[in-house]
Amino acid sequence: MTFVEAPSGRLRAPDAMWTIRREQMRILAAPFLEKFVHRAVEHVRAHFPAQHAALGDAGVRDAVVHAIERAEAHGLERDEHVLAYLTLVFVFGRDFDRDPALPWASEALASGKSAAFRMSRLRALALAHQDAGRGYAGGEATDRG
Amino acid sequence: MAEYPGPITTALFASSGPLSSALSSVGSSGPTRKGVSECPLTKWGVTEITMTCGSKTSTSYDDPDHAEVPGGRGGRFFFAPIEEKVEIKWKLHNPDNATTLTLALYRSGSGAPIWTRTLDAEAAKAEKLDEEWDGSFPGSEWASFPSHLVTVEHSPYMLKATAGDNAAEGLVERWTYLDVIIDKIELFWGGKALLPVGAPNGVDGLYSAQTALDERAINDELVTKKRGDDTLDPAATYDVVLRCNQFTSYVYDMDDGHSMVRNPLWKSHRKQWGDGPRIPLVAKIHIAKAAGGAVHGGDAAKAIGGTKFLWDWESKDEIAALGTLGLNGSVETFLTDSLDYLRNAGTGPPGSTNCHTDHAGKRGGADAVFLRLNALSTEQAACGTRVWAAHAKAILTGTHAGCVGVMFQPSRMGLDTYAVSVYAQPDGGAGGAAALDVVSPASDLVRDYGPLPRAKSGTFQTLRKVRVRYVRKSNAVQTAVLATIATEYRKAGVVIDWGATQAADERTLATDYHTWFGQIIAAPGNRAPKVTSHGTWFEATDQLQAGTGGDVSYAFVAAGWDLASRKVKVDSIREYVQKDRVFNGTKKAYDRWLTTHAATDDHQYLLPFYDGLSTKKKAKVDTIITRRMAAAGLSTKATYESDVEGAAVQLTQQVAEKLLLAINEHGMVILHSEAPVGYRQIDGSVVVPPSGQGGISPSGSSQWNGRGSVHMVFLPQTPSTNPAAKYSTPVTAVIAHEMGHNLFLNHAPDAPSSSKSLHDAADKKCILNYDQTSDHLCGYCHLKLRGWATVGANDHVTKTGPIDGDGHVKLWSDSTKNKNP
Repeated sequence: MTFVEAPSGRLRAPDAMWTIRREQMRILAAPFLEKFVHRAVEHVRAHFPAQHAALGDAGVRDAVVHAIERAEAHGLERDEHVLAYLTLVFVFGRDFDRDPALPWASEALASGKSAAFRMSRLRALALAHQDAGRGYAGGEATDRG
Repeated sequence: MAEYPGPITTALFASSGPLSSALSSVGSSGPTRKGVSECPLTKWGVTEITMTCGSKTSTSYDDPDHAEVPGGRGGRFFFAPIEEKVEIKWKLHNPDNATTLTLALYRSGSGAPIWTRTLDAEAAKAEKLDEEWDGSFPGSEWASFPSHLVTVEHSPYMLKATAGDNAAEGLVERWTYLDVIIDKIELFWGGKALLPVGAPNGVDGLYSAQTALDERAINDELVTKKRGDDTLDPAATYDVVLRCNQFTSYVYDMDDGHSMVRNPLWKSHRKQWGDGPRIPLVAKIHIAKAAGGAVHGGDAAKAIGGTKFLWDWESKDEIAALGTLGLNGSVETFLTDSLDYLRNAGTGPPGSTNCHTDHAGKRGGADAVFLRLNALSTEQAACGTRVWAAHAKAILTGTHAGCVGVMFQPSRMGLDTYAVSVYAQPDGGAGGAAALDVVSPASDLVRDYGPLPRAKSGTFQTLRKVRVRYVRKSNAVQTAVLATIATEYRKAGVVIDWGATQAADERTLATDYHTWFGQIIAAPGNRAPKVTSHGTWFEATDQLQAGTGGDVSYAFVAAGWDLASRKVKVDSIREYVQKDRVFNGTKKAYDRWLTTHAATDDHQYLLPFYDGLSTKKKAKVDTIITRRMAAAGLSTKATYESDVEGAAVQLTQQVAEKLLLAINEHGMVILHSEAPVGYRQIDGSVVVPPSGQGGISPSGSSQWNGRGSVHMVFLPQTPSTNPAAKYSTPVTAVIAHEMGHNLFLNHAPDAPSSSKSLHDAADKKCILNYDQTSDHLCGYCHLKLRGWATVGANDHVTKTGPIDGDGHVKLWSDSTKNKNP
């Protein structure tokens, strides 16, 4: 079963006659989160193999969880936004959104526009500044192609 | 490259890192990780993006594997930024569902956009940018693209539209291409106004002021050689004529390798012209307009951006042309061997025969042919591989906006040639900057990159010009065939400037001759010892009767042997008569003799008086005569005439130097008499002796501080009919020979004090020898006269490093040793 977001901010199942609290939802959604994390780890393995090898699955999972937390903190809820955010973490660094050397990132995320706009802007600027990327840990950019 | 602009594929804009592909793969989905699914929304997307300028519209692309966009202007969208405006439009599928649309501009050779703008849903739905585009955007929207303007430098460009959230598969991206291209380059003279103050680098202080003036005069002359539209004509030939009035002032300077040498020709030439004359050249760059035609200068010049322009030079293959120059066979052989030196070493234009740096030229050396012209370029550097060429960037603002210039500085070497080309070398696509930076002949660049915008000058040829004043003693002197001399020296890159002053110079000579004669006789100085000892035999006046109908072809008139001897005799008789003796019967007889003879000249009464003396008294007089004759150098007729002739030569030399001072111009003065002296006979007539004729050079004119040099020739143009006679050579050949000495050439092997190693060993007919049939300068003399350094401790095989600080290699008299190793 999947759920849709109700106008109240609570979650409800389609056609459901009842609502459930967020904490209940987290418990119920745990399998979906795990599935997403697995997808995200595979995304990293596919596109950043060197960094994946260096970090190992546990390290990558940690990075994924961190990216999810940071993306959500910026109001980025959609999976593709989180995956895009995770991608930027592996290109520009774990805390690229707070890196003073990357002011364009924090400016894009804090623009006050919709999540869709901010993510589009962030992606565009990331592509424009991709040469500045130093990888997840800020070390050798082994996945820079 | 077959065409300009070059073809386009998406590979020109490929990203080298994983970011682009990683972002593209994230798909589109809601927050499923939370077990939440969105209400299904109608997908939307972008179906087309185009640019329009006037009647031209770009093509929209959706397939990354689309066919190559052909090169050339035909199917391409280009415009002149700033000058023209572009409308950017796109089309959406289900525009009501649009979320965001990101526009990104990519430059050639990079997968990272240089400019981005994200539009919200409302702006996206407008399906066009709300402002016309002139190639620029606000500075904050650009990333790492300082010009903030699309320019030629990074053309072509790709403008991509990317749909944001909820875009339908296949409708996420569309893109189009645009070009900023150079329509044409035109090459102009820069003119003397662009010359810096002062002389070129390497010019000695003695010459710097004059060389700076001469350099400006050269540019003044060149700027007249242009086409109707003021551009340079590639088919033209430009003579870069260097004034080179440097003359031998020290005998060892003719002998380059001699331990006593001070300033041989090549060093003197270097002192005067250093690294060579500077010639500003300016290329005007025109940007192609979508509406047709092009724009140059103004704000539109900014669209040139940091485009590099390659300044390149090539030279004529002189070896290939030697056969057409009418050279003596030996000369042609010597030059063929010697000009071949290191022609294809990769450090100069392949095949160039210009003087190599090992002989003090510029080919293959560190001395640049292209100096930066600060007012006409923002930066300039030598190419990394095509080391003789340079690349520069254009001026984008101000008076010279849209121009790129260079200070062309050919070498100072005679007969070196240069044709200058300037190529645009935009970074984008095939034929970019790196592609042109190769070692290849200029013809290969044209073949391989012909469609690139370029312009070419005509061919510059360096010549050395020498001012020579030819002055005859009078109109009676047969004129030498000056054209013959000039033709021979021109083959060696030396232009003889005879000027149009011969008549005036001869008038000056006629006016001042007697004055100068008097001054020299009165104070001969230590450079004219024979004038001191024999000057008394010269007649004080009537040395020159120019314009009176009594012109003479000899330099001076001196008493002939009989006349001189008789004077001694008369003086001896007088001395005998005047001696104080008891009961001087001789004196009384002499006095009586005087009363009965009305003659006014001593010889008309003293000699008869002598004849009437007794044998005993005659003997006493004879004793006095003998003593006086010895004292006066009249021991024999031969020694007398030899000494008088020597005195005449020295007198002439002094007169020539005074003439040089009167002319007061840097140059060489040739004073031509057919004989140094004519002898006055007893009957009053003048006889010219058949011997003692020839040429003398150089004079010791170093005292004139480089003002010039003089030499005298004493020969008629029509030689002796006896080919075995010592002086059977026409005066024209002798003048050519003596001029060679003035120009630092030493005697060829069969002449006295020759320098065998400084002439072509295989050529026995160099005019610097004494062979009467010699008629040309040998190949070695040719290269010396061009200004080549010919002496080094080592040859090109054994060269190990700098020699005497100049790093030159020996030019061998055996030309086979000069061939390309």
